[in-house]
Amino acid sequence: MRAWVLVFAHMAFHWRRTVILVGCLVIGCLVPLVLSQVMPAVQRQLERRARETPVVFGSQGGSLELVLHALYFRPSQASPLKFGRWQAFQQAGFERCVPLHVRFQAGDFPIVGTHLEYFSLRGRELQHGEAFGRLGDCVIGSEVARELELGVGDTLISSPRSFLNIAADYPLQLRIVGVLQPSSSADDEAVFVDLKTTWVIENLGHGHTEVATSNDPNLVLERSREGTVASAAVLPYTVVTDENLASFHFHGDMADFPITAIVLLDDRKRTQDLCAGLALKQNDLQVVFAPDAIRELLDVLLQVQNLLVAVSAFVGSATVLLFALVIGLSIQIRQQEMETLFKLGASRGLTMTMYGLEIFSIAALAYLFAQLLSWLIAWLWSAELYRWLLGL
Amino acid sequence: MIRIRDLVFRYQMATARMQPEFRLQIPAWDVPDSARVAIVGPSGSGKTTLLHLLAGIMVPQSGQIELGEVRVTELSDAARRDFRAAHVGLVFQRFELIEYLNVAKNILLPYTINRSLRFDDSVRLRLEHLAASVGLTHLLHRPVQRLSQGEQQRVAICRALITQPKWLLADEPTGNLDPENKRRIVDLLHQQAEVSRATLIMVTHDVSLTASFSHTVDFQAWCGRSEEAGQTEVRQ
Repeated sequence: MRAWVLVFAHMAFHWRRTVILVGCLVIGCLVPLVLSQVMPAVQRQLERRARETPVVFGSQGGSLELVLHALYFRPSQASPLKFGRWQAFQQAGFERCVPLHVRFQAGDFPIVGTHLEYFSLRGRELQHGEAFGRLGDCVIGSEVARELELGVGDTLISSPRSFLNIAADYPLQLRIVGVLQPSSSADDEAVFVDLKTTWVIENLGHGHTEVATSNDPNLVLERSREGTVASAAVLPYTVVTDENLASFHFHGDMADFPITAIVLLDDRKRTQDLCAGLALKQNDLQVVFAPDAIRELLDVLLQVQNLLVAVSAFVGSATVLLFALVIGLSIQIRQQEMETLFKLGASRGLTMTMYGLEIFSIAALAYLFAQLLSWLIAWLWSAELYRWLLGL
Repeated sequence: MIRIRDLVFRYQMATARMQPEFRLQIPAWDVPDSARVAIVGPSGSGKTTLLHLLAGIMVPQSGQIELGEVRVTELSDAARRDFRAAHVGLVFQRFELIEYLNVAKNILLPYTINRSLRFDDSVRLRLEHLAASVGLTHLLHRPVQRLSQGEQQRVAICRALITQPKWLLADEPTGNLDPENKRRIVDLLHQQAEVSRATLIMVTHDVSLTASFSHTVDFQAWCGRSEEAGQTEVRQ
């Protein structure tokens, strides 16, 4: 107690030195502490999502890329599947297979084209509004709603992938009809639309002024018995309304329309195996068991964690050496003070205790602040860290 | 009563490159209670060493030192520290205040660093009384760095007196002060020693200050120089 009084008085008097020393130690041990906070949560989230989505189907290519695409809606360079593949699963009785089309974004958030079954099979509930029931409607995740400050009745616009190829896809205004409850998953950060809406964005379907009955000579190039040839002045609608909804139509066979993945949301092993067996009969289809791929990803993340910890240990040892230097110089400077304390009746042990307590106090303060800071970082930026780790 | 008998002290760390080994030898020296003793003498003659031996900070190779009924030379390290903290007040030339403590905490320092001393209301009253007697009441919570030299030395004297010591040992307490402050500090030491009925032994280079002391020991004249250079022998 006696030593503590002197130690705290000394630390308070030389508060700049104390702050610098504590700061150096905090920096030295912050990265390992943040990782120790974030990594277990990341691991749990990855494993949970993989368990909920045990089997993923997609085009031939990287298995991890396919899993991250289907589970976390990350961009994929793989060629798309035909919608007919999903129809084949349905016809075979695998009703818990859901198609996904993830090629577009609204701002920074992926637009996920799917069927309404996606929500029921994943157990997602709506916080506000209702599920999409019309072309051009969307349901947004809770994070999208929070970050963009949007709600039911607001609108979102899909972002064209390239401004150089405006014929490929064009911005479609999406009407927000529902907001999902938070689920601490990738669904929180996605914009869900009906599969057909993504095909409209992809310009496989569109709505425009009725040309056949139009009398506007600017809209019609040629009329014949075979049909009417529209001019370039006929522009597709960029927003779906109740009035123009009927004009929307698709060209071609839907079975050939693209989807980017199929997910099986069924935890029964037998169904998974049967479904995988069916898929493997088709050479162009890749089947990935998500838990296996996620385990590989976790191994990579563990290596990254180890690397970061090793770098931190290197930086930390330099910090500890500097800390020791400062303490050593402090001991030299304080020799006269310690001699005075001894002359006045202090034991040599008290002076040693004072040094020890000061080192302990600074280290404890540093650990405490680092721990608080790591909690704060994990709390404030866990989603960003999560995305960063997935993007590695 | 301070009694010294057959005291021999030498520094152990002499090397071939240093000056010949310092040696202090005092066959006998008695100082009556409540005496005021000034010790004058050249630097290096052993004045400070003598104070340190009396306070039990250093231990002689042989001989006896008694302060009152206590034979200091026969006490253990811990007992000497406790005895020093409780019964010996020390005033240093450079004040040796603790820069990170305020005036009050500097004065109460012996109670902070030694377990044998108990801090209670009587000590708090003594602090207030001492501070008032030397004009420090309004400065008790001020950092010592913001005090003048005279004020700092008054704090150092209060620190030496807070335990009501029977022996007050002052090692050149006026060394860094101007003549006016020197006189005030010496008067203060006399006054406080008088109040607490303490024996005052003060080392000084300033012969002009010795007039107010009941005894003056001129180390150069009083100590016989033995045949070997660097050896000091005190004769009384």
